[in-house]
Amino acid sequence: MKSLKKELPLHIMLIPGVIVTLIYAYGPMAGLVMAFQQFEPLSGFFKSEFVGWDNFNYVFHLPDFKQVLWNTLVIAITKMVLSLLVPLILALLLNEITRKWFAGFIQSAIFLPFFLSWTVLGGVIIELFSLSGPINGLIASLGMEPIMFMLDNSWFRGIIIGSDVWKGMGYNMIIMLAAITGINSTLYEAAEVDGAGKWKQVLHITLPGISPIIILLAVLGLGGILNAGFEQILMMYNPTVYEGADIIDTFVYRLGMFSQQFGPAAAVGLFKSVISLFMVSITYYAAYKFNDYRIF
Amino acid sequence: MDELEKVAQAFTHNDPDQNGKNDTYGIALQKNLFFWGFDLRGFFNGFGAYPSVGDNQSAWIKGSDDKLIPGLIQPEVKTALGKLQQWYKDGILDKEFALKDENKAVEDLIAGKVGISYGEWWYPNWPLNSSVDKDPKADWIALQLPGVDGPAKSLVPKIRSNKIFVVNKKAKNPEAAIKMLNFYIEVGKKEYKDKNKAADGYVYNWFNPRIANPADIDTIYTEVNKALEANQEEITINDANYKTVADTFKATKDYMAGDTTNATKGINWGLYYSRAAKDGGWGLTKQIKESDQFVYNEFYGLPTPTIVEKGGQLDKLMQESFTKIIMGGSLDEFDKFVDSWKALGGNQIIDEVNERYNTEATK
Repeated sequence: MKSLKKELPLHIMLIPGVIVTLIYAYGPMAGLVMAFQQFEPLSGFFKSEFVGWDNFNYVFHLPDFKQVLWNTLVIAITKMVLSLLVPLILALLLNEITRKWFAGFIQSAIFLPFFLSWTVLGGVIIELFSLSGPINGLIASLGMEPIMFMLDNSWFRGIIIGSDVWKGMGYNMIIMLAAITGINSTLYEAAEVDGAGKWKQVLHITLPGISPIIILLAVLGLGGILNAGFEQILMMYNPTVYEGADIIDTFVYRLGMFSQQFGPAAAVGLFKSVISLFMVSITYYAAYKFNDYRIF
Repeated sequence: MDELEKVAQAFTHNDPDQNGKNDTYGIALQKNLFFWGFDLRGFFNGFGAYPSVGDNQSAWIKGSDDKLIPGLIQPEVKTALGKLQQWYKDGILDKEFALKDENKAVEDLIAGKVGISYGEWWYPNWPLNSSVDKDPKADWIALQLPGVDGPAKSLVPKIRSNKIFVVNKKAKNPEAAIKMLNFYIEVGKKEYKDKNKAADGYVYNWFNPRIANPADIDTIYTEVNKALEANQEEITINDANYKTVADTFKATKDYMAGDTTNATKGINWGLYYSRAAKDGGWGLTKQIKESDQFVYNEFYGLPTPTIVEKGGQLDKLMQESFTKIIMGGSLDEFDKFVDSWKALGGNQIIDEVNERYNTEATK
C-alpha cells in the first residue's frame, strides 16, 4: 500500500499515453471486422453483410498472390538480415577509429539518409540510376553499354534492397555502437594481457557483449517479416518490374484504392498482422530459451 | 501516320534544341498508357483501335452483330503496339517512359525536349503556355489525330454527365432547387463580377447545385469570335458565362496586341489558342464534332460487379504486357494477354456489359 502511494503520480502520468494508445492503436482494431464483410462505405460497419472467410479465399486465390507473397518474403528477409549485418560491421569498424572527430563525422554521414523520406529519396535514386544519371555516366566512360536499372527485373530488386539497407543502416549502427561503449573496458585490458589480438577481442568480448542488443533488434525486425517497404516500392516501381517487386502492400494498395475492394484489403492486412504476431512470439520465445534474454 | 513518324524522327534525331547532344525525343509519354494526358489513347485511335477512355477504364465499342466488344483486345491494338515497339527502338519514345509520371512528362515538354504530344484541346492553357513563356520561339499547333490513311476518328464518351440532383417528393419547397439554379445563372452576370469574391462569401465551387453548362466552351468560342469579327471592344453576352467569355476575349485582344501587362504571353496565348482560335484546340474539336469523325464509347454508368472485383487485376495485366511489348518484348505476347484477359474475368465482364447494354442503355 505504501508503495502504491509513492507510485501514484507516476501512474497518473501514464494515463494520457494509455488513452492515446487505446484510441489510436486499439480502437481502430474494431475496423478489422471489415475483413469479414462485403464492406459498403454507405452501409458502414454495422450494416454491411457478413461473408465469413470469403475475402480471404478471394485474395489467396488471386493468380498473382503467390508471386506477390514470394516477392515480399524475399525482399523483407534479405533486408532484415542485411540491416543487422551491415550496421554490425560498421559499428565494429567505427569503434576502432581512434580519432574522435573523424568517427563523429563518419557516424553522422552514415546516419543522415535515415532522416530523408522515401518520397524524396525515391526520386533521387531513380535519377541516379536513370539513363542520363551519374551511374550510367560512369558505365559509359568505362566503355560499356548503359543499363536501364530501374526497368530491369534482375537489377531492380537489388536496388530496392540495397538502397533500403543504406538508408536505414545508421540507426541500428548507433544502437550497436552505444552497446559496445557500454562494455567494461577492463575486459579488453585483461584480454590484451592474455595476448588476444584485435580480432580475438571482437570475437570473444565485443560480440558476446552486444548480443542482447542484436537479439532485441532481430526480434523487433522479425515482426516486419511481411513488411518489405511499402513507401519505398510505391515510389520506385513501375509495371515492368511488377514481376520481381510487387509486394503485398502495393498489391493491397491497388486493390483497395483503385478497385475500392475494402473487404479483401482489410483481410490481407489482418493476415499480415497475424503472421507478424506469430513471428514475434517465436523469436521472443527462442531468445528467451536459448539466450535467457527477455525484453519484458 | 507516316508524316507524323517523319516529324517525330526529325524531333528525335535532328537535334532540334541545337545543343549538340542526343537528348530529345519525338512523342511525349508517361507510364500510364491510358490516362488523362500524355498517353496513347489518341495514338491507338489512329489505328482504328479503341482500347480505353483513359483513367484505367476500358472502352466498349459496337461490334459487327450489335454487341458491345472491349476495344482493348481487338487485333488493331496489336498492330498499333507493333508500331510503338518500332518507335521505342528508334528513340521516338522516351527510353525511360515507364519511369515517368505526368509531371515528368510535362517537365520534358516545357524544357523543349519533346516535340509532339497526344492530348486534350486545353493543352495550350496548360502546360503549353509554360513552354511558350520559356521559349518565345515555341510554336505549337493543334492537329486532328492522324490515322493510317487520312485522319482518325476520336473516341468520345457517350454520356458526359456525372452528377444527378434529385428532389425528395416530400420536400416542402421543391421549387427551391430550380430557384437555386436560376440564382447561379443570375450571379454570373456582369454586374456581379466585382462582388463575387471569396471575401464576400462567394466561392463558386461551394455552391450546390452548380450547373456546368455542357456548351460552355462552345459558348466562349462562338461569342469571342462574334465579338472579334464585329470589332467590338466589349462582349455582348451577359449570363452565367459572362466571366469566362470576357476573360478569353481580353486574353485574345492582349495576345493579338502583344500586350503582356495583365498576363504573360504564354497565358494569353493559351486562352486564345485553346478556346478562341479557329485552328486551335476547341476550333478543331468543333470541326471534328461537326464532321462526325468520332466513335462512341458505348458503356457508361457504374462498373459491373466483375469489373469491381477483377478490374484492378486486369489493368495490371494490361500495363505489364503492353509496357513490355513496347520496350521490345515479343509482339505475340499480345495474343497471350488476350487469352489471359478473357480467362481472368474478361469473358464474364463482356457478358455483364452486354446484358446491361441490352436492358438499360440509351441507344
